[in-house]
Order: sequence, then C-alpha cells, then structure tokens
Amino acid sequence: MLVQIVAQGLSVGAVLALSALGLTVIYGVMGVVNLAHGEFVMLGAYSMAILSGPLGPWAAIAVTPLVVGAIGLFVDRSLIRWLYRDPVKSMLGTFGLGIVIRQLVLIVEGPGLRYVDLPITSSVAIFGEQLPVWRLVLIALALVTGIAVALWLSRSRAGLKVRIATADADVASALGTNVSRVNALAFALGTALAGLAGALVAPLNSVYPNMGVTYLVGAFLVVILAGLGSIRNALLWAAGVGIVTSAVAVPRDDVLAQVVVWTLALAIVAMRRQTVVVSRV
Amino acid sequence: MTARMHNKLRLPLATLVALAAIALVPAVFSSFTVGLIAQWLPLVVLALSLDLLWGENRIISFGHGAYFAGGGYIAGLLLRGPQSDTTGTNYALLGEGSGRSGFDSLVDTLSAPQIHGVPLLAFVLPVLLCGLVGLLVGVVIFRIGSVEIYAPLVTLGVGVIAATVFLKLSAIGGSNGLSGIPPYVDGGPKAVYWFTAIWLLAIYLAYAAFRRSRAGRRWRAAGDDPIRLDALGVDTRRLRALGFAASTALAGLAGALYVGVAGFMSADIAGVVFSVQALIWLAVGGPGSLFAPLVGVLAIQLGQHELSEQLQDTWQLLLGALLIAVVLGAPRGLSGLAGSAAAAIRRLVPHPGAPS
Repeated sequence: MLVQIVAQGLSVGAVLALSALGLTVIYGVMGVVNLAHGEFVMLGAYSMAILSGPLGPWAAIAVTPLVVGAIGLFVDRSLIRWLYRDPVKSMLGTFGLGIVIRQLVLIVEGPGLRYVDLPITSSVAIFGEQLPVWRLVLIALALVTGIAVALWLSRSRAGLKVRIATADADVASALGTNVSRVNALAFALGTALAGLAGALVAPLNSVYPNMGVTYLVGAFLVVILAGLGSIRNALLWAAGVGIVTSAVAVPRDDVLAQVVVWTLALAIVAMRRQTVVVSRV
Repeated sequence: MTARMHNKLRLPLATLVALAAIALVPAVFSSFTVGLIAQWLPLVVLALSLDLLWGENRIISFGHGAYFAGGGYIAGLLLRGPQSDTTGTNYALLGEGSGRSGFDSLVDTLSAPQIHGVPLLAFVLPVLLCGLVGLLVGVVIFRIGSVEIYAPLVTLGVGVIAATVFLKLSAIGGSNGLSGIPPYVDGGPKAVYWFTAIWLLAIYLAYAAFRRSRAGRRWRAAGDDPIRLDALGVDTRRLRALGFAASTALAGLAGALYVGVAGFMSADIAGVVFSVQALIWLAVGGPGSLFAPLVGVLAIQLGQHELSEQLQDTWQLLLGALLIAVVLGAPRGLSGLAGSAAAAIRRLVPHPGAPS
C-alpha cells in the first residue's frame, strides 16, 4: 500500500504542481489572481477528450497546451488586461470568467461525464505492488515541464524579459521591452500549463463541466502553503499535499482526505512565526 | 446648510421608506408572492454579513455560503425535532459509536427551550457555532498576511470542503438535503413574512447603528489602513479576526432564518456557486452602501425567478457576465451609479442659495 500511496500522491501532486505553477506565473507577472484557473484545467481535459480520438492520445497531449494557451491569449487580450495589478478586482473578474467558460462548455457539450482511455494501459510491479504506468508517465511529464519552465524563466532571453517586467514594469518598458506582450505571453503560458494538467489527468478521472473547482481549490492550497511566487516551493508543497491526500484517501475516502489536508494546512499556516511575504516570481 | 440637513435627513427618510415598503408587501401581493419575497429576506441578511467584510473592511469571502448552510442545517434540525422514521444509518463522519438514538436525543434536548413554540437554540446555536468556526478561520487568515489575496483563497477552500462534508453527512440528509422543516410561526406565508421581516429590520437597524458608532469607524479604519491603525496601538489582526467571526455568525443567523421560510436546506447552498452569487448581489448593489444588500438581492433574485426557468444554463452564464461587467464598469455597483447620476443632476440643476 505504501508504494500505492506514494505513486498516487505524487501523481496528484504533479497535477496540483502544474496548476499552481500556472497561478504563480500569472500572479507574478501581472498581479492577477486567476480564479478561472480550474476552468482552464477543465478546458484541457475536454480538449484531450475531444482530440484523443482523431489525433491519438500523444498528439492530443502535445496539442492541448497550445489550444488552451491560445484561448488564454484571447482571454488576456479581451478581459484580463483590464484587471492587471488589482488582485481584488482580478479575483472577482476571473471568477465571472470562470462561470462564463463553465456554462459555455455546459451548453455546448452537455452536463454528462466523459471518459478518456488511458494512453498506456500496462502496469509495472514495484516492490511487489502493481502500478499503472500512466501515473509514472504523468509524474515524469509534470516534473520535466516544471523544470523546463523554471529554466526558461531563469536562463532564456525571453525569461529574462519576463523577470524584468515582473520586477518593474516601468523600467522594463523604458529598456525597450514590450511589457504588454510579456503579460500576454505569461497569461498564455499559465493557462497552457493548466491545460496540460487537464490533459494529463483526463484519463484518470471523469471529465465534466464543473470539474475545475477541485483543481482550483487544490492549487490554492499549494499556493497558501508555498506563497505566491516561488516555483521551487510550489513543486515541493504540491508533492507534500499530494502524498498526505493519498495517504488518507487510499485507505479511507476522498472527503476525509480533503478535510485532513485542509485542517493540517491551516494549522501549519497558523503556527508559522513569520507571515508569508508575497513576492513576485 | 441645506446639504447638511440633506445628509441628516437621509437615513431616517430611507428607513421610513423601507418600513413602508415592508409593511405594504403583504397588503399588495398575493400570499404566494409574499412567501417568495419572505425567502429573499434572509438572503439580504447574508448579503449584509458580506458587506460587513467587503464593504466595510475590504475582505472578500468566497465561502460564506458554508456558514449560511451550516446555520440553516442546525436550525432545521432543531425546528424539525427528532426524526425516528428517517432511514440511513451511516455515521462514519460523526464517529463510529454514535447511533441514531443518541443523535435524536441530542436534537430533542437542544430543541427543548422554547418561547411561544420557537426553539430558542435554533437562533443561538447557529450564531455561536458559525461564529466559532469563523473565528478559527479568521485567526488563520489574518496571520498569513496579504489579506486581500489570501482571505479569498482560504475562505473558498474552507467553503468547498464544508460543502463536500455536508454532502456526505447522512444525519443532515446527505445529498437529499434536509427537508420538511416547519416554519417558526404558524399562520401561513404572511405570518412567516412578518416574522422574517421583523428580524431583518432589527438586524438592519443594528447594522446601521454599528456603522455610525466608534467601533464601526475603527472597523473601517482597520480595512482602509491596517498598518497605520497598528501603529496607533490597535491589534488589527485580532480585531479583524473577531470581525470575520461576527460576519460568519451573522451568515449563520441568516441561514437559520432561511430554513424557517424555505423549509429546506441542501449542500448546494454551501458550495462556491451560491457563495459567489451572494458576492454578486453585493457587487451589483454596491459594497459599502447601506441599502446595497437589499437592492442587489431583490434585483438578482427577481431576475432569477423570472428568467432562470426559460434561460436555464444561460442564466448562470449571464450572472458570470454580469459580474465581469460590474467589476469592469461599475465597481461601486448600482448605488455608485445612482450616486454619480445624482451628482450629475445636481451639477445641471444648481441649488437655490448655493454659492455660484
């Protein structure tokens, strides 16, 4: 059971990490707390459900972040840019956006559950316990993506521009960076990460219009513990949250797991001596 | 001087108008419509509890539906009294040992103290328990720092968890909800309306008095500039945690009033969709304005009653779009729009005797 708990915990954590990473990048760059983030996870899952038939599962996973990122780009230009640097306004506005996206999917696709076949159906034996290979692939993909995003931000020229715009938009703009383009890019990246999370998790869970709130709440939990701003902290806390969740959920049930995890998290936050300082990426 | 008289007269005048409106409702409308309006009055109390946070202290809660539902469940159980005939024996979340008879005798004991047939604890317990939970959550929120960001995140999370737990608890009906709750008073929809309206009026007057008091000014200051207030020697974290608890207690009371009118409570009410609908009432009315909760609830619920059956899923879509539109176009809601319209008229029509 231990292997089961760790593997399931890490795969839950991997999905949380991808969602929380997207939230962190978006908040860091443009000061927007995106409460529609769960809906972008849901869009990713629907994209996977629709595309994996005609394209095959692997191409669908590759295309989904592009599809969701493109939707994110459109949303940024049409709505989000009016909400920059105003967390309260951004939360209310993006929650409204989330409702609109959810209801549109509900109207177009209907309320029914959809299922996606596992891209890899085989399982391997680790320490005598059978594990579905897909969970391991999911963990590896999330880890690689997380590291790639961190490297892109810290090493590449575009990442440098993002970091300058994060630190001081006026200075970045004076130095010739097109800040508005950086913002759009960051929102597209954040939503693409949410989309990837949705595509990866779709074969494990059912896909339906209201699925987003679970991932939103999970990503928030990670963000509350890790602070909005640090990618490394987000990855570590996501793994921790995932493992504690599955340590309760595997032997008992999901509801109890959520209660335990939230109680623990709030207790940890309450006992901290210093307050979490909100730093930008 | 006329302007000052204006301001002094405004509140009593508005109160008179509101009193007249409340008194006229049962005289004008059919008893079906009166019953419907009576259902909206507790929602105004819920909106007031959110205004206490958002309008007066700049804290947004995405989880007040959970306290509303919690208060409603407690009051509903006490109003209904012990139920020996309901089915379901799964008490996993209440602890393995407690059986139905133990739970029933607890409900029996708690619903015993009554005044004119109204179980007293149906109001006291929701206030105390929701307040206590709110205090715990508030202590955590105001320890984190960056309250305007983390308060919505924590309240949303706690609300969603509460909703999933309510859905699993068979003692309160699980996914079927708690139904068959009798009203607080006999005598049909109009009596229920009067009972609820008097509660709402009392709460409204208390809230208006609080806003004008020293404590109310201090509470607003704690939201406007907590750092300065800290420097002046006020423990703003403690103050705001207590204020958050007061707000959740009021939300619990609203829930207790609601079940007495609606006769029903379900886990949906605790969920994030309803919590955000409560925020939309306030956003539409205009947070920080005394009559915004009333205006917002009436406008949205009337729209929901008239349109939601024809539009179905599109109604929720419109609510989402409305929230976006209000946030972008009218951050102070209808009361803000009314205020700027009044200012525009005043500029066009100069006051007699005003210095030109």
